[in-house]
Amino acid sequence: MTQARGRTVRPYLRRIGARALAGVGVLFGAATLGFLALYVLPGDPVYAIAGNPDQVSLSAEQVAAIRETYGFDQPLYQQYLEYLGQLVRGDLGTSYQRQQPVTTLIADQLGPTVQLAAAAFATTLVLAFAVSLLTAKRRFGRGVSSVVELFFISAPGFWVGIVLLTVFSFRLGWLPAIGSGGWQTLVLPALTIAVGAAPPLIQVLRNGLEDTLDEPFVLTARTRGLSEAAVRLRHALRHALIPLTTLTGFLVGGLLGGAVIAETLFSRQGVGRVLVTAVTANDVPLVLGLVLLAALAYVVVNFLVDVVYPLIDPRLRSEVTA
Amino acid sequence: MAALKRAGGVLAGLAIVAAAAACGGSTTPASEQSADAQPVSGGVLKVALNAWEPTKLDPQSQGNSNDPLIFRPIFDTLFWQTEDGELEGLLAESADISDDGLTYTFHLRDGVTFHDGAEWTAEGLKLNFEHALDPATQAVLAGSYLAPYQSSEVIDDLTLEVTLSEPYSAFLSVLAQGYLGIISPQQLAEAPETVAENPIGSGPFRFVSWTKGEKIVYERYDDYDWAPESGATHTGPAYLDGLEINFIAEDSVRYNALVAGDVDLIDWTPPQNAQSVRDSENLEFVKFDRPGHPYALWLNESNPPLDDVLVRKGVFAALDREAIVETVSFGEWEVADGFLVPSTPAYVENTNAEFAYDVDQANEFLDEAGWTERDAEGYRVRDGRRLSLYFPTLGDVTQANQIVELAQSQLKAVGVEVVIEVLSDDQQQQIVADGGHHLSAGIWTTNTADVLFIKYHSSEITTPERRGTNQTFTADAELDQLISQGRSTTDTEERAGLYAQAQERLTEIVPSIPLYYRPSLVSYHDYVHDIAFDRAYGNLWFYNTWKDATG
Amino acid sequence: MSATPEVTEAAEPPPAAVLAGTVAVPGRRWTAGSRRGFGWAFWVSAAVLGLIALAAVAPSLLAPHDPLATDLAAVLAPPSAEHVFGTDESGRDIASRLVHGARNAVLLGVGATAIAVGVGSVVGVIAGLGNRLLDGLLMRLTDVSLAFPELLLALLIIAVFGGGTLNVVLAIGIAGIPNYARLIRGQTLAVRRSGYVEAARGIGLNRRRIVTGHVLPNAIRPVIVLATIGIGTATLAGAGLSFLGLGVSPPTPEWGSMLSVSRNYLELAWWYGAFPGLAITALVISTTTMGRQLQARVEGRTG
Repeated sequence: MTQARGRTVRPYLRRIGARALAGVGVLFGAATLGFLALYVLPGDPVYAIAGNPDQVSLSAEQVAAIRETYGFDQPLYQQYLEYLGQLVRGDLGTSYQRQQPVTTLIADQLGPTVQLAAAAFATTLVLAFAVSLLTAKRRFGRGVSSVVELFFISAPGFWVGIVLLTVFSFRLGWLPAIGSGGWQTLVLPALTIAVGAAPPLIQVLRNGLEDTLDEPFVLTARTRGLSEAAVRLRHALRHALIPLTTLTGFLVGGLLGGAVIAETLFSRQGVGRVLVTAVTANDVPLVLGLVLLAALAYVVVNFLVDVVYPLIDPRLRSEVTA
Repeated sequence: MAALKRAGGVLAGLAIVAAAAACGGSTTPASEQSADAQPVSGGVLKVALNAWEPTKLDPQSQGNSNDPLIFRPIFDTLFWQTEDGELEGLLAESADISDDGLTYTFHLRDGVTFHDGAEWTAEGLKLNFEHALDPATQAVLAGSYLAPYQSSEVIDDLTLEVTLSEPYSAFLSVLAQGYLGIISPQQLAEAPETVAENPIGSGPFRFVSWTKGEKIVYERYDDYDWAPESGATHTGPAYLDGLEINFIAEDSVRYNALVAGDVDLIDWTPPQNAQSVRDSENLEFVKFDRPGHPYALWLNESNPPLDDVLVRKGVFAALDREAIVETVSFGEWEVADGFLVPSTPAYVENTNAEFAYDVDQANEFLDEAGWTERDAEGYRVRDGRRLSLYFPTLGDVTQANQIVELAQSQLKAVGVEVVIEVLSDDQQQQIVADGGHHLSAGIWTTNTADVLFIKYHSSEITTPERRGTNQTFTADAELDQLISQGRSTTDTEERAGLYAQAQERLTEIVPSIPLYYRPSLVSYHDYVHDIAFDRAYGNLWFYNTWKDATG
Repeated sequence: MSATPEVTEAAEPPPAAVLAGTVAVPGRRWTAGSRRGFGWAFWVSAAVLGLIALAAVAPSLLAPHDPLATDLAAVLAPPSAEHVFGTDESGRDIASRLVHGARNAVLLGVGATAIAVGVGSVVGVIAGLGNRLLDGLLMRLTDVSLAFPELLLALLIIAVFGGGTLNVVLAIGIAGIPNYARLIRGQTLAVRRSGYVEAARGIGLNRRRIVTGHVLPNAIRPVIVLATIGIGTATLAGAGLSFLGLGVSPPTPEWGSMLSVSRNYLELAWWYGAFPGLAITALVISTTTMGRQLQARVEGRTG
């Protein structure tokens, strides 16, 4: 990723500082892009606010009240500055449909999504480690696994989810089909996301493992009489981990995108489901708030990777410890 | 003074027996189940609906089909609609109407206590009317139902005199709908904005929690003692310890959640699964019609070529509504035969032959309208323009999309093109409000024939200032007059006559194509007993319901 | 990675490429040794894609029925001689709808990828060849866009422009731009700094000739390969949007929305979901396989 240059702690800290600054820049950019995209939209907020009930009628007073509350009477730059000002104070505006602060709505729904994402992330890692350790340098296992991986990465995620749902919930009755209470409700949605997210990780890990297993130090370890399992776990795996960090961006996107699908399919509460409703209802403040949340997640995860990366990569470790 | 019949507690014992009989007969759940079973208290009933979740738990602010079902447990209304369409007192004991139809004197029930301990008084009713009409409440439906409300005056603790700006015959009936649930006066006086998240009423169940995107949880209100006599099988608190209403968007997940026992009862049974429910040994199935206007395709009369009544008639005759409804609902829905659902007061059976599916006649109408030439793709052409209809739609309901597709396919057979576009909710609504569409679809459920005013009166056409409900842009002087008179006449007989004429007029101007009555399709496990419905909207009502030991 | 201010020259593979590009493909091992031929998997994939392309160009050659013709007497009919893949909820022939849906699948996959690669290339080459300021500006913009997961970005675009076939293609295409922009910029920088551009300049070629004749072809070759894989990714994204109810308008036959609607009839008609699902999966597997093998070949040649 980046070449080691310095030999002291200070360059490391300076780089972390620069990353943090860049992260803030990205968030600012995301807010601006999102604001422009959504607020330049033509259209009368009255329709978005009334949502899609079957039966709607609004009196002149009601229409006037709505226009005043969300009034677009100010010039664009003023609205933008106001929006940024609100943002700095942690205020994301008021949802059209639910007439509640966007921050409250998101805070309400964030917990279950974080749970789901964490469960899916853990499942993905377990799958990736297990499959790559078991199949690296093993011709038959690798062949079978490749076919399975190719299938899961090529099949639409919601289809996989429906099949899992049909088999494990409808037919076998092992796991509940709905809800977000208890670990049982997490299994199928997490698995749905993980089987789609794991294959690239498996591949990267396995390639890393295979490269490392050819290294001289592995041969040395083997000649010292270490078992194959010990060689793989203790020596090879650590080196194979390094390229994995390049996949974090993809993983964050995959988990969030997967959450949108899984929450809808499994009737779970969460920000993904809220996003879909907000998009169909054109609830602009809510969509914007969720987009910023996704950007924040991405920036934070990448920042953490930047912080941790030199600590895992022995080639860069000297930078920190020397 | 025309006085509404008082439903006092004099013959309470007899009334209960009668109500139980009426209820069993009306809802017709496979009734052998509870013939000899004795109701028992206890248990939580887990219910699943489709994805239409309220945006706020303020009943007066909402306008979706599920809302009366969701709010009825928490909120009582002023009146309750009986099986024969009469109104019975609930939170009001009776109402007196002045001869000019402008003054309503409400006599309220004594001794009602809300979940927060608030007392029920005339001042509380006044607060409720004012809350519904406060623009901040954004009462998209209740507000329009109360539009003629002008002011009210507290006569004494239990008497409120309401003055209307114009005579409005539907007034008392709409007050029986779940959208006009009465909110705790104390909550409205102190913190009306909290209703959205923490609704407090006087109904048989109290609100416990709302997990957005997932479910609403209720528990029994033990002090409840004012159940509507004609609907209730018992008095006092409800049998169930609590309710849990889940929102499950996926049809197959909702059905399978029932089969697997994750929930006890589902509304919106996917029509494709209804037969398996019937065939199942431990599941029961019941349907219940919603009053009002049937689900219909609205024809925008303001947008050529639909301004020509011949084209509208041609489109009507070209559609095999029977086959469409049969296919889409797997035979579960009934084809509409007119502009009102039979359970609506003043419904008149339609006998107009032009309502039949007749391709030859459709072609005649369209030829007569001058669309005689055909282009290369077989569509009709007049003056170089294709006979093409634009249908902006929402992609959210499977059956709705399928209806659109089938209509498109059948209209193609008579040379009419339908261009479908899936849009987001607000885009679709904006186009429809601006009249840029030819076709749209929808339903309007209400317990009065005044729905004809709502859907077809020229004053209900949307203007920049207000959002109207007339999606067909019908502006017919004769019809306007009939439905205006129907709205202002207090005489029941005369009103029925006016609405009969109005329905006749509608068959002449064909502003819409009624398709079907969208009934509640309810499936439940056989350990659930005494399923009942609120007739004012046709929604499920859980006061009578109980679970036996096997549940 | 994205939030990195000083971007390194040898660009890391973008997520889209990683997503599909790293997945091993059956058959690859047998061909790894020989650079002359492709494996059996390549030819099977080519055949599948050929069939899809034929269906897209001349659907009436393959489709047994009119894909829009409803037959209310044969609703959800199981596969038979008349309807080889059965019928849907309106009695339409699923096989014919699949054949006619191929054009949309190709339009979606190829169209979205073309937008992503086309705009991404322009941005990437300009950034790679431009001065520090321009490069910095474009790359910061790319960083910002990369902060939105692709599905979310597509949802955002649909929130702005609405649904419908064309908007879905646009949304998925635009969502893919930042990845390709980043990749092409990296390639451009690598080519620009390699010896032969200087050599070309040394023999007096002008700037435009160098860009069009040397930088572009060399920068774009690996991208074309990744784009093959990107077609699969775009197809899947389109299917996801259909599932969320934001896809193409009915009654257009489209694989994603067919699969999506079929889930309501799971108990009654397994064939309704199975065949569209397999069609999508086959398309994605084939593009991934071909792309991967082409990639192996390109790498084999250049490296």
